[in-house]
Amino acid sequence: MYKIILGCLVLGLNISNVTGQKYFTKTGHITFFSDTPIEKIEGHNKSSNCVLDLATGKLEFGTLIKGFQFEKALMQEHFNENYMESNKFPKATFKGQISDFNKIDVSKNGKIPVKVTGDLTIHGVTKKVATDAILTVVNGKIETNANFNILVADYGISIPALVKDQIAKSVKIKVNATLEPFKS
Amino acid sequence: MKKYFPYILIIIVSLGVVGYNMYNKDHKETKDATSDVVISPKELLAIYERDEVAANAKYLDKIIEVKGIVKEIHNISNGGSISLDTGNEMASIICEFESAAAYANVKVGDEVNVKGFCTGKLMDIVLTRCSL
Repeated sequence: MYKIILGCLVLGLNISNVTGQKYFTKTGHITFFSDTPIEKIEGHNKSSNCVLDLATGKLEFGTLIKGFQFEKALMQEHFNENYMESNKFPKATFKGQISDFNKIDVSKNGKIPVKVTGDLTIHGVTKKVATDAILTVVNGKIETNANFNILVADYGISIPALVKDQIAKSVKIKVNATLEPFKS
Repeated sequence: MKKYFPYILIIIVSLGVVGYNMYNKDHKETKDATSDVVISPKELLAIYERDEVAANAKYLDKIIEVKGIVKEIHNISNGGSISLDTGNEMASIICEFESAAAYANVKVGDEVNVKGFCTGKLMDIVLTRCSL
């Protein structure tokens, strides 16, 4: 008898893992900033994917490089053709882990500071990144916010000497995504 | 030398103007442009699912025109997007607009004709700088 109960418990756990633990969005907003005294460049992608599994703390992002929109057409063209080579590398991805995911409680509203580490792949190059992030629970949804800097050179992107004053060596990446419970 | 001076000045100024215009050139808009490809959402997804690399080679940066049923509307700060049904629960065609006013009259369930630049596929295929 107790085997059946145990079986049910295990099954029950599995079911609860499958439903209600994954949060996701297809409209995550990722912003790229390159700030120098000569020129400020920023690009916005508003259709990034993000999946967070609360059972494991795994966090994944995906974004299309060509989806980044810039104020000036020429910036967008250079970003795609000269630096990101987006025909060759159309996507950037992040696969990471929230270290202290056990403290995420979606049943009550509030801000939860967390640490995220993982692999960021841009321009075909994968590097480890670590950042602080803030998760904000609002009525069962989880808003994720993070800011971090990456070195352009780390991802095999070289900046020609001619424009080295216009483009920052270290660019800021801002992530903002509101995740909703995944309904399958 | 002095008589050439006005000509030299004209050349310098016109080079400056050309350079400035190149730097500030406008984004290519989809509104009045002719579509490179007219395809159904379902067919576009099927081509991407068959071979993503080949599909990217064929469609990236091209103006794609799709006609489909609006499944979802996402309002984001400065614009937003609508998703068109492909028949697949998990994958739609996301059409991003630069201003929310452009799709203000669109409701879920409407059939719309959208033009946008193909940027590739994540879970969904994303078209940017769309127009109706």
